[in-house]
Amino acid sequence: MLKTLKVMAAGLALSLLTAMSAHAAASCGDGSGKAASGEPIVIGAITGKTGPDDFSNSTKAAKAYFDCLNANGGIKGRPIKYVVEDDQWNPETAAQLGAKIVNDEKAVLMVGNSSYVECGANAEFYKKSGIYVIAGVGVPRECFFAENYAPTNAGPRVSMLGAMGYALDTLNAKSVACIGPNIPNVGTWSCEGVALLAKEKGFKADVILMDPGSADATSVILQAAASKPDVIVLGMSKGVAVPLLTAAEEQGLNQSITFLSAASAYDLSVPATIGPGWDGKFFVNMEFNDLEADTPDNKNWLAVMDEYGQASDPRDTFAQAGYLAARIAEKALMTLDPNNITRETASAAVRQVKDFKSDIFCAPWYFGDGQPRHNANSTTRMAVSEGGKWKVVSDCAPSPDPELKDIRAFESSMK
Amino acid sequence: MNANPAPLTFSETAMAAPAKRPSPAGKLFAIAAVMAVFSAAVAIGANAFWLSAATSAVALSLSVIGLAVLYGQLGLVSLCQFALVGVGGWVTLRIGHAYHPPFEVSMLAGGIVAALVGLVFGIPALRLRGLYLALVTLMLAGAFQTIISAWGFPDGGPGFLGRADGAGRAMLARPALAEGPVPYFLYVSFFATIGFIIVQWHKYAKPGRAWALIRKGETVAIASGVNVLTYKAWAFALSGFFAGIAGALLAGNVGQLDGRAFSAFESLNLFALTIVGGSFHWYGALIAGLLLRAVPALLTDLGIDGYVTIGIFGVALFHALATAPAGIAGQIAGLVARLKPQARGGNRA
Repeated sequence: MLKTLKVMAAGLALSLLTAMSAHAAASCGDGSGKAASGEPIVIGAITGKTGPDDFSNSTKAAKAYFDCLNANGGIKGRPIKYVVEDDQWNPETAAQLGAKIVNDEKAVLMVGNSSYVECGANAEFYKKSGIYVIAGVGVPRECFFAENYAPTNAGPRVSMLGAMGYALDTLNAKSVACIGPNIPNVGTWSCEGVALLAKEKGFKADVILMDPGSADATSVILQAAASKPDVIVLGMSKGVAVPLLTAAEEQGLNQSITFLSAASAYDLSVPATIGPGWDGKFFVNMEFNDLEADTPDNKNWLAVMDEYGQASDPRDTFAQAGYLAARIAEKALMTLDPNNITRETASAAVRQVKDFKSDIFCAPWYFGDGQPRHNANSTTRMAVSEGGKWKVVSDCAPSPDPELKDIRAFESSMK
Repeated sequence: MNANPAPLTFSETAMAAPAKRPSPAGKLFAIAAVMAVFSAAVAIGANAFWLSAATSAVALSLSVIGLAVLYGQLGLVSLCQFALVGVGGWVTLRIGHAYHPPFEVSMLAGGIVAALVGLVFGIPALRLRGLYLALVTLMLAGAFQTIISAWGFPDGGPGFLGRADGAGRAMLARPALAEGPVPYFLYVSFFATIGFIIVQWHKYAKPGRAWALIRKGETVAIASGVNVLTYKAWAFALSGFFAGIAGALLAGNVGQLDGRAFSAFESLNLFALTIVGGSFHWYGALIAGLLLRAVPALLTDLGIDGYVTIGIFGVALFHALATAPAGIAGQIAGLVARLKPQARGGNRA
């Protein structure tokens, strides 16, 4: 009897819990709870899932959002058919999949793309085919220098210079060493930005490029510390950044030099991994809002992930990017007549997107119609490692990247 | 068969031989015919995705036929063939972006430079064989991996490396007479067919006989008056040339290449699939090319994890080494040969 009661109590608790989580319900589409049943709208995405790193969190989040949208009326009654392909970090495969999505699947739009190789391989092809991409995470320079391709994230260079700007303005740094991966159009591009800013503002900058595959962390760190810089800026993924920080701590460098990083090291697990030795000494740039921020759209993102994503899907900044890309696509498509959603009309709608507001972004997102390149997200925050957690320490600040001149000029012309 | 008295079998074979074996010219024509049917089937039946995969597959089969010369004819294990594909691609892109000649000129330049590099890579083979040669060539592939990941492939920029670094990134234009996906596939098939025919012709001609003797043993070859050095060098140059042309055709397919796709592992993979496809028959190269590109494409299409292909190739290699040293092509040839005498035997009875 007692056992039955226990089971019943547990069942009650469980159903209460479900009810409560349903209370913070995910909001998408028209919120009607009616599944869309019309003719599907095909949207494609290319992501680098298998290969040196898994980049598919962006498309997973976008898929969760589209599932939520389809369960809530879709695009005026038409559901989204979301076709995601894995380019395996191979440009040749990326080109094959681009042809598949554009020519075989006849997608009207691409949303949530996040790949190291796809921008370079397909940007020209997309332009020729007249298809537009609202990407999740763009990494190499090609993703920010294409006519039809607009990522929601800031990119490694803008993010690294965001960190650099913080070091100059708040930490009063007078000299810097930049450590980046020796991948063309990624690490070189980012550290060149730091060097360019140094020339403009008159501070000292050293650039160290390393092979992330076969790195000796201690020697890289000692090389960077040799010129006794005030700060060291990292442009590595967290898998490489953490060993570099560990090596620096072993050398006692965390006592004398402040370390900063581009958003690539912003992961909730990092502060606890590097330990208390870095409290207040390791700053990281954030392309989006705090992952645990208690703001409406960030909470909605987490609710969408809980309700429509898999439990195993990471809740990281890539997922934020994919969620935002899906929401922007929804906003663009909602402006259209549901009976006339073609590649042409969808492209026109995407080009017109401006003033897209979300508390996950620092500044409203826009596509930038007629611009030869797109980098709408160029305003970022900073956080510091403290007590095993990230603590946001700055308000949104525009990245001081000198290369953003054209973007800034366009932004002021929009106002 | 074994029940038949031996002399009878012998005389039968001897009598049947002239009639059964097709003339070299006929065999070369058969290659062209099979390739024409294959290309037409793909061109008509494939969608954009499969057409792109098939184009890469046929281009790569050209590098496989080069490797098959080394392994199938000379028994030499070269593990740097994919690096030579990269060399050919690099030179094609470099020449193409710098001087904008017709695609064929860039392609030929890529082939020739890859042939020269292949020749240099082949120098160790003049003294080494077997495992040692395999190790040395694998190291060369590793060296190429390091260089190409640092240099990248030219994309219309200035300087020797031709790196545009983002903004002014240019794509290599496809040949003027094959700009669309279907014409380009047929274009690639055409050059692959020529490559297959050239290699097949070598087997019938003097180089083939010389290679066969060298394979038996260099002493035998020297004793028979074969210039071992020349013919070995020629095999490496030929193999490198086809790898270079394959690289050029790959570069033309996407308009650019990426350094990350040219790791030493790709060379290993290429060699393994050459064995699986079959290095003694020309169509083994086509099969290997399809395995290299169409199997991953099929898995991608089915939504299966990309890593699975590596496992499948491993099993296929194990199977080939254990039960079918002549590869899939050898098994097909065996099947055809088994069906033929049976048909004839039926008539006789």
